[in-house]
Amino acid sequence: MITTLDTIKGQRFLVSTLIATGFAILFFNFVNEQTALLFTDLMFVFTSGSVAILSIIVVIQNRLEGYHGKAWALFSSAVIFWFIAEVIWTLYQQVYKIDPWPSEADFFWLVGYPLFFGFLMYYQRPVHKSITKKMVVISTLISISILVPLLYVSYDDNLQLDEFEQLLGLSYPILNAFVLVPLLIGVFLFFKGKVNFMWILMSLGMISFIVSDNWFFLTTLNESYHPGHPLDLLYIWGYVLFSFGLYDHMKIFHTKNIFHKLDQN
Amino acid sequence: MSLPDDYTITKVLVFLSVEKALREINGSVFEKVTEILKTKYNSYLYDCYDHPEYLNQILKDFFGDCFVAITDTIKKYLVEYSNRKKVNHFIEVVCNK
Repeated sequence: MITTLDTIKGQRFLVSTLIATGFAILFFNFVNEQTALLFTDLMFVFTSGSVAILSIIVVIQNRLEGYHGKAWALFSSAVIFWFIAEVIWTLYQQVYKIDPWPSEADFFWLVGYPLFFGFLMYYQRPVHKSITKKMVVISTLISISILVPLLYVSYDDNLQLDEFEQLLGLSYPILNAFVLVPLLIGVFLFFKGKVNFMWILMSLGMISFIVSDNWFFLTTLNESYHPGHPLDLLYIWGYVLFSFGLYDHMKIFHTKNIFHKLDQN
Repeated sequence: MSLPDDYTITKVLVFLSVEKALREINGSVFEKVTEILKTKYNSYLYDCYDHPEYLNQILKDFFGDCFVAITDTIKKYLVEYSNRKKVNHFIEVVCNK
């Protein structure tokens, strides 16, 4: 039985983790750029790896059954792809000492988005009758209103990027726009109820990714991105929020396996 | 051995419909609902036929406003038996907002 106190304690731990990672990045940025770069790279690998492990546990817990079972399998696949991308990014930056953008890591990141989209669709499938036209219209409008300015900015002729880099950079905000629609619908759908907190964490995690992806795209256009940039923190927070969301899901759906006990009796 | 009476048959039908609707979402949702029924109401899913308000409350607590979509699925599976008075009552209470 999850008590209110458990939820409050859980949130306190979550907030402390977010603040601690924020201060750590700030601290290492003060030390020097190389230390900040090493720390953020290791944090990317550690946090994405943690989410990947937790997601595998959730997949095992859900046994691929029903819509949610399939949804978690898709989520886990997306996160595993992102984890591989983080490892490649870190290897390029820390071991081979070359610029990791663009690289093979982008392939793994981009593949993760349709999988995440699939997760959202399958998770909402059992309750799709509760989705109203209003929810779809508002979510689509929000998504388009974010995408259009980014597309407009990218059509600047004075950009230093070649066509491939421009296309690759643009694919992130476009895929984010697709993901944002069902993500916001989910926020409307699960506004109340016990799954609400888990959904808020998963949504905030993905919103963190969307904001940082779009920010990364803009900083790439004007070449202002540097290792240890504040936007890196948002990526790490995204993974942290996913971890807590998965942990909350495990807590909500943890059963004492009463069927096993009944069989024994 | 005597044949089961109409009450028992309908009770089983309702139980199977609810189980199917919950398992369609996920097995862990079904197990969690069953566990809450046992711990909070000291009853089994099979007993929901007589106490549909338990299931209604659990689904509301879990899924908030979109519990309606889940109860709609239960309703869909029971629609061919809804001419039975008790089944109709069950549907009404489970779907109660």
